Amino acid sequence: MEDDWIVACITRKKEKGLELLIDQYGGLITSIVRKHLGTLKSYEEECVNDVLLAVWHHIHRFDSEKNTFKNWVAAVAKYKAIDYQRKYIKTQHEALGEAEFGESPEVHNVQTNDVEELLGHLSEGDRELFKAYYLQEVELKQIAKKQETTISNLYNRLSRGRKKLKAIFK
Amino acid sequence: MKNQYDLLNGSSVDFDEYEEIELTASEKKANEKTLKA
Repeated sequence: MEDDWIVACITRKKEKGLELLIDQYGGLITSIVRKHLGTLKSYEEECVNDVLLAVWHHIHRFDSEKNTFKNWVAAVAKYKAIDYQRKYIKTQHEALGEAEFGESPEVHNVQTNDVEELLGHLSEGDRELFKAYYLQEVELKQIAKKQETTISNLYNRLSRGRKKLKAIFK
Repeated sequence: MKNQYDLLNGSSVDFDEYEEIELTASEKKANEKTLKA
């Protein structure tokens, strides 16, 4: 009954649905994301929010005759977390990890240059944001405070930047 | 055309794999605030 109510609220785009979703399944979503992202905690908040937004935007795809809402939400969380790890985290950490540990200075320079070249496709502001968030792992809260903006704005900029880079390097 | 969210209707998640976390009231509020911003 509770799930039916959550689905109905989200379908009608009532904010109450979001509150109920977080209240009922925020813990489960966080648990799934945390397990799949491992110790890369700085990405956890962004990924959890992406899961919640995915449920919000794609609720019409949920079919109560085929699955329970809890299972569908958990599947979305698992899918997103694995997708995050595959697309954004693993590659970066492999590159950075190899650059930081045990590689020759030449290899380090090449990889640093590669990262610089990649980020060179972004505006100066977004480049600094990507470096701070993805390379230095500064929390978004801190970046937002420093840049006197909102976390939401930073998410949007990160999202747009990722899309731009994905389109370029597809 | 089916997309990935349609296909997830056929997924079964083993909840025993995950240790469910109880979010605090402030964590829940923070999530809501971020998403509503």
